[in-house]
Amino acid sequence: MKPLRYWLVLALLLIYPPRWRKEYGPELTHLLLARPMSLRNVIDTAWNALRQRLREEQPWKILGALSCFLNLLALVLDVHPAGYQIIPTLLILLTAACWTVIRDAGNHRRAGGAAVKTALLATSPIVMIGLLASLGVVTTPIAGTSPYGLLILPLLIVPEIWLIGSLFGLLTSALLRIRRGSAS
Amino acid sequence: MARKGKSGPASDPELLILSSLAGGAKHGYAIMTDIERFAGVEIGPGTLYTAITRLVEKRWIKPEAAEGRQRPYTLTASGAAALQQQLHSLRHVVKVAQGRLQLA
Repeated sequence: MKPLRYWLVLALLLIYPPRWRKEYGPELTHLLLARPMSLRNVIDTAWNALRQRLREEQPWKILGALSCFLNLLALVLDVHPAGYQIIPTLLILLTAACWTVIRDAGNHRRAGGAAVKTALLATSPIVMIGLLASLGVVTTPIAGTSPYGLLILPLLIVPEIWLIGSLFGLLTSALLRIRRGSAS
Repeated sequence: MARKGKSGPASDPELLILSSLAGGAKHGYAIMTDIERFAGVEIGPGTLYTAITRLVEKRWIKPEAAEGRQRPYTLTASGAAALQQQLHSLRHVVKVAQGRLQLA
């Protein structure tokens, strides 16, 4: 039977992204098993694993999952108006577009797509509620909105989101070029 | 999280790793113990490998063929140049600080 320490190391390694784990996993395992397992080492490893996840994950996944969680929380706690609040939603989409451009070293081609994917992931709980409401399983939680409205609204605004994301991606790319130009 | 010992003079993990590898190829565990010995700084395992990942990406260090589960790293020419540059900056800071202390 493996000691508890072994399972703890395994759990810590699972926080790291798979690509990183494949490259450095055996070395880190050896190091963690060779040293005394203090609380500080556990926190240090878990914290750096999360940082590595943030570095490697696509911005749309991080922001989309965060927004999805907040939307879900708003629906569960019934703290409406949930749904489509313009300013925070726009800020999240712009962040996704700009972050994607920065990650891609100034390439703006994926900014529009990143904004769309963020929006679709963020609104997935609302779409799900729309689906359940249209099937008659639940009632629409957002007053004045039909179940079909909840279901299709995210799809209807895809072109606008793509356009906004692309424009801000282009702007971020231009700003990065100016910054690089002034630095060199 | 690089943790300073009582007399730890510097705690930037990347600088410490480059300084350690300037003395020859080492694997992760050897880098960690070497840093503890020469700098009095204890670097956490996660911090060590985050810094190693960044240094490999910058091509300042490179992994050699694995020895069992361990893989030694060596300093590259660009890594040595980067270390020289950082040491030059540090020397400048030390010089300015010492000059100001003498004036005070």
